[in-house]
Parts: sequence; C-alpha cells; structure tokens
Amino acid sequence: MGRIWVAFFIFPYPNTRGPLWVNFNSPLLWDVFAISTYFTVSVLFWYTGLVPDFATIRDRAKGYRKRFYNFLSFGWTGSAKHWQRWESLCLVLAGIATPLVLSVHTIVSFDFATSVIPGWHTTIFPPYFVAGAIFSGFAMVLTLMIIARKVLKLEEYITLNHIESMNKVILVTGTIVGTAYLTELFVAWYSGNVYEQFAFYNRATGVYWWAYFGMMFCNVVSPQFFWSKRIRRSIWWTFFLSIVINIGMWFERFVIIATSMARGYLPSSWSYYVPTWVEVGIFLGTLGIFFTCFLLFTRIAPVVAIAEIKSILKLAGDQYTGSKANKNHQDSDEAH
Amino acid sequence: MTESKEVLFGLYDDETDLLSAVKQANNDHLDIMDVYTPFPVHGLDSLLGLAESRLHITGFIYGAIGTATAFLFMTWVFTRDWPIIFGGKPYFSAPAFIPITFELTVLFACVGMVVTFFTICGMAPGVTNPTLHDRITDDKFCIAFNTNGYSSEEKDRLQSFFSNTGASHVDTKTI
Repeated sequence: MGRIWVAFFIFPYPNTRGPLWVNFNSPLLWDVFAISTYFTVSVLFWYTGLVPDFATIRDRAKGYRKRFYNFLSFGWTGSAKHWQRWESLCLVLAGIATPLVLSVHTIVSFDFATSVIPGWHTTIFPPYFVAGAIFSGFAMVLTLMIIARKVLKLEEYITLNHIESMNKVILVTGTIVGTAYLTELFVAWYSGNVYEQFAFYNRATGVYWWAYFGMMFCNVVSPQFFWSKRIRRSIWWTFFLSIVINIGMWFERFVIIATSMARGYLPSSWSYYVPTWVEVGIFLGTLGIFFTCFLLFTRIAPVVAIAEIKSILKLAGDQYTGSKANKNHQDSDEAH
Repeated sequence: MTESKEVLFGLYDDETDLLSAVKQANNDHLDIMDVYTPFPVHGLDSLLGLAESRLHITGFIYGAIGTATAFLFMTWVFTRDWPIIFGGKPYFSAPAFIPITFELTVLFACVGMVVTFFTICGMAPGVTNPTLHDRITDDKFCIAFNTNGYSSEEKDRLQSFFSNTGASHVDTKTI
C-alpha cells in the first residue's frame, strides 16, 4: 500500500471528490471486499463460538475477572432455545465460511492471474492458491497446536488421531500444490510462449534459483513423508515438517513475486532485489503481532471449545467408550 | 420491564436424566418455564416443543439484500453516475461485478444473522441475564418452573416431580 495514511480511499464511501468511486472492475478492489469479508466473518464466527465458554468462565470467576467475562459473555444463560439458535447459527456460518475460503483465495490469486506478467498470467492460480492456503494453514496450525497442547496439557483432547488426520490433509493439499507446480512448468513449455518459458527457466536457473529449490524441496518433497504412518503419528516429525512447510510457503510467495519482478518485460527494470532493514523489520513485526495476539488469546480465552467437547463426550470420551468405560451409569467424581 | 419471577428449579447430573425428566414432565402436564444446559442436548428441542429456529431464513434474506445492494450499486456507479471505460470493457461488465457481489452477499448474511441472533436472545456486550445456578454452565442440567401464583400443593407436586426424576439439587430463586 503506497499512501497508508489515506488507506480508507480503497473503500467506496460518499465523498466530496466527485463523488469519486473505486474501480469495481479491478481485482485489487475485489481483494478489498474479499479480505474485509473474510476477516469480519471469521471474527464473528470465532466470537459466537466463544460466548458460551466465556459464560462458563464468568460463572466460576470472582471480582474484576467476573465483570470482565460478564461483559464478554453477553448475558448467556444456557437456555435450550438459545442453544438451538446458536447451533443453527454456527451451522450456517460454517456452511458460508467454506465457500468464502475458496472465493477469497481465488480472488487473491486474481491479483496475479489477471495481469500479463509471465509466471503470473496463468489459469492454474485459483486452485493453486486455494490448495496452498489450506496446505500452509494446516501446517501453521500444527506448529502452534503441538506446542500449545503440550504446554496447556491438552493431550487428551487434541489427540494423536487429530494430528494424524491433519497430516493427511497436508499430504493431499501438498500434492495438489506440487501438481500445480508441475502443471505450470508443463504449460509454460507446451504453450510455446517464449516469455513464459523464460520465466520458468529463470526461476530454476537464474539468480534466485536457491529460493526455487527451497520452495520445491519444502513444499513438494517434505509433505510426501506423510505417506508413512509412523511419521504421521510422530509429534516430532510433524512439528519439524510443519515448520519446513511454513518456510516452503514463504519461499513460494517469494518466488512468485520477486523472481517474476526481477526479470519482467522491461529489461531496464531487471535487478536483484535485496530487502532493507525496514522490510526485514516489517516481516519480524508481522510475526510479533501474530504471536502477541495468539498468546493474549491463550491467556484470556479457552483454546479448546469447552461446550463442544462436553457435547461429544458421551460419543467419544474414554470414560464412556474406552477401556476405562464406566458401564453402569453413576455420577462419577473423576470427571472433575 | 418484566415482573420478577419466583422460580423453582432442579439440577440434574446427566443429560439422559434430564431428557427422561422432561419426558416425565410432559406426561404429568407440568408447565416448564425453561431448561438450561451447559451444552446443546440433542433431542431436547422436540421434547420441549420448541419451534425450529428461523434464523437461517433471515440469513438468506440478508444475503439476498447483500447481493442486490452490491450488484445494483456497482451497476449504478458505472452506468449512470460516473461511467468510465476500463481497458475497452463495456460500462455494464457483469462478470467483473461477480466477486464483489458474492463477498457482500456473504458479509450481509453473516453480520445480519449474528446481530439478529444476539438481539432475539436478548444478548449484548455487558448485558447480565439472571442465571439460576453457577454450575449450569459447568456440568449441571436445569429444569425451571415459574411458580408465580402457585399454591403450596402445586409447589409440592413439583418438589415430588424433582425427587422422583432424580434431581440432585432443588432450589428456588427470584429473578
């Protein structure tokens, strides 16, 4: 964003400049709406799910904490009618959020795909970006989750089965991303377009070859380890590979942007981009703001959806179905 | 606003006990004020005779408003208010309007539904609704009767209902 101090110009609001409207035909603007919607819907869904759990904490807390959680829980009582509406709401939000993921990442990919830059102007981008988003999203969640479940002692709730299932999703989406890379290469050759062919030849052998091989190794090779059940069910391997994948996705975005820009249509613009301390600082800042928000969240809010876990306890809890199942119904104090 | 209610409530330790108690209350034609649980109990809604929530219908309506708002606004801007030729494309370029139309549909539907949900449940930041017992949001299931104007016989009837159905704790509260 060039002029951050007039960032609100990207929104269509009545103004005294005409009124001057934004260009609704531009993917950059579709992105504004897509990301704003994504953010808003995610926050609303997240908060709606938290309200019953904030009420649980409210009813256990005392003093200023009780007032704090009272404010956050909106007066939730646990009434049957409210639960019914809550379930209906969560169902619809979940159902809407899923096509939203697809549409948002597709629109983000359009920022590149609707241009003319070789290496960017390709129809593989929408599915490539969607699969890449799910791929890197699962990897990032695993990185955080493996540490959080250990520190907060949630191994009974976030089990090895969950981690294995996530690794399977990573394997599938990683393979899709790998297929997209190969498709790009094939179509570049098959198209006969010399500029497109050069763009990919340059990626693999040009000045940024190290980023390309980093991307290929981290994104294509590493998820294939998850074919092995032993590795899928190993916490250490999962943690290590999830970090490798996070690094690989960073390389992917770097390869898409920096290599194509460094060798575009205008040879006078060719150069070797090196980040300054400002850009490195901004990057570290993004990690900082993320971890700040995440750690604050783990301090004040439940990291596991308490009410949802309770509702499936009879179906899945060890106490009811495992080897220690209490077959005769009793009010067991071990539950607390 | 609402008059104060004298409530007689009983707490159960398990949702199966709760469901059988509600069935028993239906058989005895007792007038349940409300049932409070720490998590949504499946099967409870039909036992209590709760009508299906119409929230998803409101969601659809909000979404339709979003679709219309987005598409008509963009059409007006680019055909009437300030038409501009972008890259030789026509003024009314419907395919280019689709992404924003979809996003605004989703946005209106979600924001509308969430605001409606909290409004019809009487919930808002800082609102305190009276709760009967602190363990309801923890691990106890509560059936509550409004005993305003009930005779002592009717109250005894409710007390014996609670003891017959295995309530672990019975109490009264004025809310």
